[in-house]
Amino acid sequence: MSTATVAPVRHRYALVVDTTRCIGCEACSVACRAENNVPEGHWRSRIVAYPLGKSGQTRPVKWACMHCADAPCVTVCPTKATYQRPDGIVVIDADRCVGCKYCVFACPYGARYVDEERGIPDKCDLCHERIDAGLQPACVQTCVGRAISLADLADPNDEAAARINSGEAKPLHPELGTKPSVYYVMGR
Amino acid sequence: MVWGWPVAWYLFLGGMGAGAMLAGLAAPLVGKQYAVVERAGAAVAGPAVAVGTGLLVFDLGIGRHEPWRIAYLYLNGSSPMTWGTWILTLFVPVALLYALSVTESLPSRWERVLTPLHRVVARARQVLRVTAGVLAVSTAIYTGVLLSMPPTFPLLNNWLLPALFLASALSTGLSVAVLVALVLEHRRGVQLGLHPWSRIHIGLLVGEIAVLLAWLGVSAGAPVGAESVQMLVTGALAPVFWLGVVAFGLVGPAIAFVAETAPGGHSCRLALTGEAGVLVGGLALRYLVLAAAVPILARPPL
Repeated sequence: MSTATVAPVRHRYALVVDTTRCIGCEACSVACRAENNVPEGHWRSRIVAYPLGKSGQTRPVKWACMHCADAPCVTVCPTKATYQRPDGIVVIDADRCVGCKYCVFACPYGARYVDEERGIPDKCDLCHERIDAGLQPACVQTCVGRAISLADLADPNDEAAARINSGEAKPLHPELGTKPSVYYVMGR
Repeated sequence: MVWGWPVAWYLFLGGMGAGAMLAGLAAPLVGKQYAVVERAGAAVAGPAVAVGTGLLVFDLGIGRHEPWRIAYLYLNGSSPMTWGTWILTLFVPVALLYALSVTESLPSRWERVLTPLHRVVARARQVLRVTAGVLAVSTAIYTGVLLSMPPTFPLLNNWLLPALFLASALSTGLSVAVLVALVLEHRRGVQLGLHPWSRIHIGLLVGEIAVLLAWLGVSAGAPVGAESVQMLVTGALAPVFWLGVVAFGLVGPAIAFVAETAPGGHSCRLALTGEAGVLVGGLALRYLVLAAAVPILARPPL
């Protein structure tokens, strides 16, 4: 009699955004709103015009929570409502939050908004429920140019992770010291 | 602004209450005749910090409507807000008990309830004194640490901010303690000599001006921090900065206290005006610290 035990699969998720493939159509922003019931007037993820690369030319850049490995929001949250899952995704446990807004204050990327109706901050959670169900995040699934990929840094054969490991994809503003997990292919 | 007026008022009241406690604790060292300043400082501290804490609860999102969630605030040892929750929770009752321990006369309506408690706390006065002092310094400083910890706002992300908050707390606390002491003594028909307090206050103001200049200098040298300093000194917030903080809060009171301590000058009215100006300046400073904080990266339209 043996019980089948499933070995825990370890993941370390990151996002790769290839700005050279982005046409700025905001399909990702809209898919995100639909998937996550984002309230009127707010966005979890948006396309912003941002100067990138050596040329410093302004390009459409997908901007949302960077899922920092050393996240200020996780450090400062007094209730531990914001926490990092073992797979790297930074999530909010709405049942523990008091709505003090310290996380909104602390995020250098400005990735959080306050859902005034619920009195709770909100942000991108990488569609972790979809990931847990074996699906891709809504933005990744929707992107017409296949500019967004979910990477698993724990998987040596992962193609998107290879772009991070090779240095082709880089984080925005690493000098802030938060070790962001969203990486951008910036082109020239 | 993530945090607005309620938090600015809290920063002011919390600092003022903590400073009032410290001014009160210093009173016996300044002179035996100043026991009334000790009582005044102790009496203001607890209520001021309690009202400020009430404003913090009012500023909460869901926690205001579901207050049991506030219990979670005690749990993250790495968050300055958790430290603050503990500090405030301890400071308010300790300050109230200390005030009771140094009080001269109990209000007649509460006499029956308070007399036995008064007997107990009067015996523990020394322990309460030390505890209240440590908690007052913590209350005055932790807010500065809280705002300075994240890398998000260069104006705030430096160690001079806690120093500035401590300086402002000492100054505003001394002012409110002296003002309340004057009211208490006036009722008894006693003229309180204020010279030593005015002299101490001149020292505090000089210290605060030095910290303020250092803070502005360090911030002006940081990327984006310069934008904040520009807002304060020549930009949209300049009227509040120059009139509220500099004129009412620092230079005006310094002149008033110098005039008050000058030979032959013992105008109580001058000292009173100075103390009131310090309080106005203290509130203006706390508001400006929040209002002038420019984020290091432009905020995305989320």
